[in-house]
Amino acid sequence: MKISKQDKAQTRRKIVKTAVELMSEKGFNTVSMRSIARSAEIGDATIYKYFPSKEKILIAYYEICAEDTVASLATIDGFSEYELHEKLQVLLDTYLGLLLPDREFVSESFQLIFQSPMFLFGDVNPLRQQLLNTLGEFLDDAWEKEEIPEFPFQNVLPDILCEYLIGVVYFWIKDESEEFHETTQLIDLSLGLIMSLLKSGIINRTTDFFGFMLKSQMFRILNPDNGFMRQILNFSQRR
Amino acid sequence: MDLCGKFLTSASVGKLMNDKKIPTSKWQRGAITGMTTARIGLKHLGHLGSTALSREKVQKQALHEAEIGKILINAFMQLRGTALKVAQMMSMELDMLPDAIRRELAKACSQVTPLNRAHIRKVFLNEFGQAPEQVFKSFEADAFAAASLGQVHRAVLKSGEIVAVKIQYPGIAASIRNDVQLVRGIMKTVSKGTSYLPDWEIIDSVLNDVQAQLEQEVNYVQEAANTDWFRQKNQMPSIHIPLVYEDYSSEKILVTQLMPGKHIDAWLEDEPEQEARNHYGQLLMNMFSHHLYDLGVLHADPHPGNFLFNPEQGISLLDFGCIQKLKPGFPQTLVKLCTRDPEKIFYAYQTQGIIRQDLSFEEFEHGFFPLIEPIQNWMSMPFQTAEFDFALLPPMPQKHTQNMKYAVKQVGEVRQDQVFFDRSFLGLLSLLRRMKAKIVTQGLLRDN
Repeated sequence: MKISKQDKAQTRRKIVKTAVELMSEKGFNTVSMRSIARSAEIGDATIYKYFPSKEKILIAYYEICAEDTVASLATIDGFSEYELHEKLQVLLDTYLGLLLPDREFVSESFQLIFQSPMFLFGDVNPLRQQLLNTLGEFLDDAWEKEEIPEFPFQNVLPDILCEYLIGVVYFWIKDESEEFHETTQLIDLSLGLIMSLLKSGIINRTTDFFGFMLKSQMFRILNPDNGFMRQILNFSQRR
Repeated sequence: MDLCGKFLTSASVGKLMNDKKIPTSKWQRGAITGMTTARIGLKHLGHLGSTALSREKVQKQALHEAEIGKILINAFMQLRGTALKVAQMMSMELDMLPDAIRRELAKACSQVTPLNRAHIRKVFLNEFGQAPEQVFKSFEADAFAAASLGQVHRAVLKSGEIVAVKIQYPGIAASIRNDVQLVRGIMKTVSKGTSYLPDWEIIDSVLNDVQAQLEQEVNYVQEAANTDWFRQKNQMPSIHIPLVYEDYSSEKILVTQLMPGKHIDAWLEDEPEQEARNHYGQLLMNMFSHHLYDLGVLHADPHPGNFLFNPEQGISLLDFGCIQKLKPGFPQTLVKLCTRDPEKIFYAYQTQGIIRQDLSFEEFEHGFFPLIEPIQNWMSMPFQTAEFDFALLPPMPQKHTQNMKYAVKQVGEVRQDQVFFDRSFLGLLSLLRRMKAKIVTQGLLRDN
């Protein structure tokens, strides 16, 4: 029997949801793939067609949250008119809002994923990709509207913002304050800071400054009489 | 340590609303506040010892104060939200900081970071699970007025009514305690490095009360109940109090009827005729008297923005976040307080416990009274004649810092009723002064 794409996606979500419920209750280590499959009412073998391991389910959870966040942003009236600051803020609020019902699970799994070596390698890419694309779109839009000046290395900005987002989630997990007001304050203050950094053009000036420093030092390094290169040369000749 | 070291502000609202015991600790008993403060000259606490300064020194000092003000503001701006509000309250309402510092803080009032669309969305989703554009038929993303710890937007209900939507800064209610603590830290650091701020004990005590007042102000459910109460009890047809839309209101969102009318600044810009000035002035004064004697409750937020002058010759009264229920008998003592007769004032002060119970009349008349006389004369001026032209009311007298410590030692308990009365009354007098209204004052303060 052929299963439609939609059915597949539904089953995938069902598996993740069941796994989250089980893991919230019993902890990541005590829950097996088999028990997840049974609770989700699918075959013991079928589950492996969707996820080769429990870790992949964790990643899928964050992937789904990112997907839902992006989908939710698309429903906001006039969202494209929002300023970059507001877009980022809504993105963060929505993402945290989606994580909120599973906070216990998030607090356990977040560390497992983001502090494990697999995060540094390609495994977590699908999760980040969704957010990176969205952040990239926000930034392109802001550049187009001249909300923020362009600067060198700007292509790494989505990555930096993505790391920032993960950092905020990490802060939120540890936030025990009433109504998570400390997270609210953190977002307010840090986004304010990021925006003023981006708007001030300070990145351009800093890059120019380091460019100048590099060039001026380059002459010193390459100075044929007493430069760094000459010294290395002398040193190697002495040996 | 002398009693100068501590004073209680207008703000111990939480305590008073429940009619709890009047504070009796040593410091609180010595507490002075609001206009009571002004009466005995605490206004210039920050300037103690500076009376003999040369002109050059005075200018230098003003510059220095402005610098301190800027430092404080920068620190507060970093914190945003409550911290800034705390700073404003300390400067505006408590009259305790030197002028230059106050001016810097006043500038900050207009610089409060506004709630952006993301904030507003977050508050609505938290409170109603829906975005503002889903809750209302239409919702203006730009605020038309600032509110304490939030802002006010115009919206249209699905049923067609035009409303004012007051939205609280997300997370602010929960962070008041922490933020006040932060301000405490900043003020402590700054007060150590300068002699221009009041004693640390005073600041500390003020902050406690500011915290209590803030906690009351962020309670929109209470504010909705207060507004309803005033609306039901109001017997003056020319005074309009907005209708609260409870179905649309919550702890963090308050939706009321949008009231027509202009704020005093806009109203004065149109250069109203003397007749109109007198009419609205009389209305304000009568309303104050109505609240005092008929309702026994004061609208205790004298911010000029809370009064709207509408084209139908009426006044809309807004913002019931801070109200004060008066103890029976209190309003009746005011008529004695607003005279120039030391004997009557002595009696009123003693009844209210403002002065030490063992202070003799002779000592009061020759020691304490001369210190409060200028302000006493000022505030009773409108009641010396049947009619009073507020254009003739001079600015509130300020300089009488001599013998401050002596004065403070004569102070007994501070009645919270008095504090709130002072605050509202002072607000009213300054409003009428700006309006240059000529009004009938006879019979407005009564002893029955």
